Amino acid sequence: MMALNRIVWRLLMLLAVVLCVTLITFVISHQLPGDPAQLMAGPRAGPEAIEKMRAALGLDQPLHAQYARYLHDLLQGDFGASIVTQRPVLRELAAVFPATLELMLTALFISVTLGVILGVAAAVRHGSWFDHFIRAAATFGISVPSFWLGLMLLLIFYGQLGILPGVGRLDDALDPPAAMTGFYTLDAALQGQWAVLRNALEHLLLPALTLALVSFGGMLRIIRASMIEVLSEDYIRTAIASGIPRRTVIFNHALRNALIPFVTVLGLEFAALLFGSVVVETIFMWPGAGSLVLEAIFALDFPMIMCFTVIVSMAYVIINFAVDLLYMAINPQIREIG
Amino acid sequence: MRLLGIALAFMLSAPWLAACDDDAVSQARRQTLIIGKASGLSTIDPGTTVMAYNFAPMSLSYERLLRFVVADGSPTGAVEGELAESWRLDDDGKSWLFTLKQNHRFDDGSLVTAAAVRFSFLRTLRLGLGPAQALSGLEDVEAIDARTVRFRLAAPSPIFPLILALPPMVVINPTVLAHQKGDDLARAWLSEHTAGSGPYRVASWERGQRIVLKPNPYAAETPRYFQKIVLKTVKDNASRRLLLERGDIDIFEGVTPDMADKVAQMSGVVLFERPTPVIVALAMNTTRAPFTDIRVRKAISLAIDRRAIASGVVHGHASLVNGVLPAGIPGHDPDLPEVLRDLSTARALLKEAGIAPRTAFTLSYVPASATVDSTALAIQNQLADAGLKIRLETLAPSAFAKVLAGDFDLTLSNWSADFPDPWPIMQFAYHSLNAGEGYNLSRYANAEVDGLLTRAEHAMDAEERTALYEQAQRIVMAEEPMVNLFAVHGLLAYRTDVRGLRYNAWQPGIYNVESMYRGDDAP
Amino acid sequence: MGRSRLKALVDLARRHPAAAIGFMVVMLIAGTALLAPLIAPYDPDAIALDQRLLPPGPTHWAGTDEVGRDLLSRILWGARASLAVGLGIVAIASVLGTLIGCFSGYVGKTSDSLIMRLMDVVMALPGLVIAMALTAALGPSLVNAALALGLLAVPYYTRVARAQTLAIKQLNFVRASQVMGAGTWHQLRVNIIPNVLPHILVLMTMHVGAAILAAAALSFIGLGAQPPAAEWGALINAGRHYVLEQWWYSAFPGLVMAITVYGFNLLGDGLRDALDPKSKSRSIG
Repeated sequence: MMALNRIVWRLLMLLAVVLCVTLITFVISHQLPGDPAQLMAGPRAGPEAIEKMRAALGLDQPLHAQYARYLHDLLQGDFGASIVTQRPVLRELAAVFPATLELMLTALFISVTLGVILGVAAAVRHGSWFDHFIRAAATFGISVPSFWLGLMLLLIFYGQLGILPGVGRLDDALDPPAAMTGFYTLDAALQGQWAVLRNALEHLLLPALTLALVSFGGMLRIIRASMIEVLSEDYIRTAIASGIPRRTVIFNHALRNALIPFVTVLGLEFAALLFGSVVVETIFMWPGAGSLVLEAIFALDFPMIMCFTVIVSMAYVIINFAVDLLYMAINPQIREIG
Repeated sequence: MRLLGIALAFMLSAPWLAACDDDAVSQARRQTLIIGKASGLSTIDPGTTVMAYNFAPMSLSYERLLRFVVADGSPTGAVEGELAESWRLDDDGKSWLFTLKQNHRFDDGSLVTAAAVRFSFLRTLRLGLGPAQALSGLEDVEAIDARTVRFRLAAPSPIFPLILALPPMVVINPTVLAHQKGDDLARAWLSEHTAGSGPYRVASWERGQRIVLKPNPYAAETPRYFQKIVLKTVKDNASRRLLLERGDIDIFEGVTPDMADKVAQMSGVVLFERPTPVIVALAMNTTRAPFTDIRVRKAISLAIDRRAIASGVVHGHASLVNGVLPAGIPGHDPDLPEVLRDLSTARALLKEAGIAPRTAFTLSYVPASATVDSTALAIQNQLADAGLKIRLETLAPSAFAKVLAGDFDLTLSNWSADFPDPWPIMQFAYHSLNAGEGYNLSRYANAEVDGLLTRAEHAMDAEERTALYEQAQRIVMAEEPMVNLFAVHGLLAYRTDVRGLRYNAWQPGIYNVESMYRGDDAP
Repeated sequence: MGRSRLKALVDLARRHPAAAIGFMVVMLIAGTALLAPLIAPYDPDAIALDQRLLPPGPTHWAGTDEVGRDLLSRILWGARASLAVGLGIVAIASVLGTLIGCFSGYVGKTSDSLIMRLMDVVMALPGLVIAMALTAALGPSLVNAALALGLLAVPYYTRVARAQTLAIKQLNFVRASQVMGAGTWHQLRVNIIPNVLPHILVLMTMHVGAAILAAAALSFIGLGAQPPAAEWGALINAGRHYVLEQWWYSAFPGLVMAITVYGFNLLGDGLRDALDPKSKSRSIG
């Protein structure tokens, strides 16, 4: 019953988020100094053509009617057409989203691996110099501006050392693998194009590392804190005292329990990575959603900006919901509305 | 945990087993030409754009009737046939007759015919955008037979063949109408696809990132070496340079004056530098007091140290413009003296005109590049020496409309000629018809100049035209609505193993890739 | 300051060395920002076209930029802009967030759940993207950027303030004064807010770093501080064009910014540990 209640809440929440996001972006887009009709009709269009465009866009309607129309279209899955390319924004975004997802998942993988391994290591040596050093490094990680770090990594590993490729998803001479999943690495592996796979992985490394380095600190701190707590619990001490190898206790018993609070922040972490990717993608010229939305922001292409914000906010709510379900599955005691 | 280890081991090891493919990869790289562009493209529809940054895919995928003859990096002023076998002025003294070459084919295999020429130009006229403005005297295009086409003009135009050599004046396959949406004349489709008879065709486009071109199998001039062209947008100058240095791009566009010397020193890189007629000028609003007063304009002109800007801001990669017409254009007078800074005369003129010291004016400009920013700062500094206080107002590109509408004191103008003729500069920058939107930014209006320019526009005799333009130039110089700061140099960097490049500094971004090759692989 | 208090301070620093370092860094940067006009060796906006892009040396410790301005002076003055915008964001978020959170927690019932659901919604918004869109639309400026980032961070404060209010509400002295008939505003002002403040202060300290980073990211993209303003993000962005030869142009402001944010984060961590050693809450992302 409680679980059902929670699901209903989440769905309502989803609706509220969509309403709120659209309202905010809608209001912003109607505060623009420029005239969208003028923008779409072209700089040399006469007043008649602009008037026609205005009517076609529904801009001659009162604001609330325009908003209602926008929501109505949205419910049919129609996010409108880009002011710049005149193509449906949802399709444009869908075309670049796999690139962003591939980058984010790789970053998440690196960051979780680093966070868990170093977090456990620090917790086990709680209070030692190693622990202090790791904590300091983690805090420094979240203190470094990602755009600056990306720039410096690019300069060092590509510019100075020349051991990693510079920008983009693939060398320009190579043709991308036929799209199956949209992930170059996965597609290349599935099609046995090993040279492409290798190249794609090399391209992934620096941007993913940049994103991971600025986000692993948060994960590490949580893992470390909950590990310390779990390790001090009686049943862990008993287990160690009863002669079970220390390694087994740490990884099989303690870590499993310490991961529970960690799971709850994964959603937040994913969101942070997504926003981080907007900046990091521009530095590494990663052809993903971040680069796309940034271009849209500079072109004041509001249909595109609105589509991006709505999709991302929805994804955020859904991911948090999934994390909640996961959390409930791991930890059956918690069944109340948060 | 164990699973994680296996995944990690797989990710790290598997790809390196692929080293055996390296030869294939490097061969593919050799036959790929990568051009690093400084800005993204907005559209590649020839009927809708006059922006030079959009021209590259257009010029590679389509053919024009005529093209400019280029010698040593600059246009000679002559044209040669691309699709046209021959052309001549018709008996009425204003229309032009063209005969097409045989066997030029579009990328679907169909022949380029007079009907296609007619379709393309009427389409451009109906779209009524930038390219149509350049064709403003064109009344009709008639397909007389399959290979003969007549351009009927309203008035004699000596520069019409030059206009037809401009990049957007291409011939489009009329079958594109199959992609028409509503009555858009296939505008949506052509904005990101090509349908021409050029050596290449656009294969894919990741907006804001890169455009890939592959050979057009039916082209009359098939590519001799490069099987793939990548137009890669790398806005950040440092990243683009890094890519050039590491050989990940072959041709580097957007060499800025402040990086030119460093690029020239890079190993394996050639820096190409030629003067161009791109003039950067300080335009004064001649319809707003006190710039209505010639003395004030003269004072500002004399307070500016052109030489300091050319060396300090543009680092010597620019030429001084002593008159109105830059070198390379008929009517340019190489004997004009350099305008030297004269602060005391400038102050005296300002005093005479009743301008109190520390009077404030605003310089409104679009900070399009570091060079523009530095130029504005230098002007601010130099005019301060003459007792004027200049406030800098940076404008978003869309906000430049305010300047075009005449709401400004001072602004920076950047204007050029695409071909060696006085018309593009004189007609647009100084004819009162083009005040504001037409790019006469200073809104200069002088009936005598207007008369001279209109007569020159239709004079079919070359000597008579040049004399008319020279006369107009003298009047403009005396009234000085704009301070011509410098003419920039065309700069392009490319890897030394790129061979056979015939580049026209006056038309950046256009390449003869079909006849280029790499290293010693001469075909 | 008495001797014993000094000793207590030293003790405190010994027990929380990280926080002490953080405190010193923050003080140093704050001092720099305040004294920038006095300690900056040059006018940060003075142009010298013949002294462009000089490497770090005895006359210009951090070199010069593309129009010959002294970079050290610009970094020092940049501390003002960056700190001001960071603190501005935190001020907007904390004031609004605390008031709303305390009110929501104290009043409870329907308005509480309504407010908290609204906060959930705001938290789900892609903050940086909305801030970018807003500043792009309203015209790029630091003030607009700060406003957008500040408003979008309100829920973090609301949550903390509300949770603390719920705890305080149960305490005897609050109940007592409630029984005596104290009004809502009086209760909030006298009993609730002052007791919530320490927790808010911790959050604020931890937020400053994130706020500086977010504002600098906007400036880096070109949506925040506009030239010729000296702001760290804008400096890094300007230096990007020269990063191949004049690497220090971007590297120095970035390093200073990282150290500053690091200082705030260390201080925030230390304060949190001192206040609530078991807390696991994270800094604002």
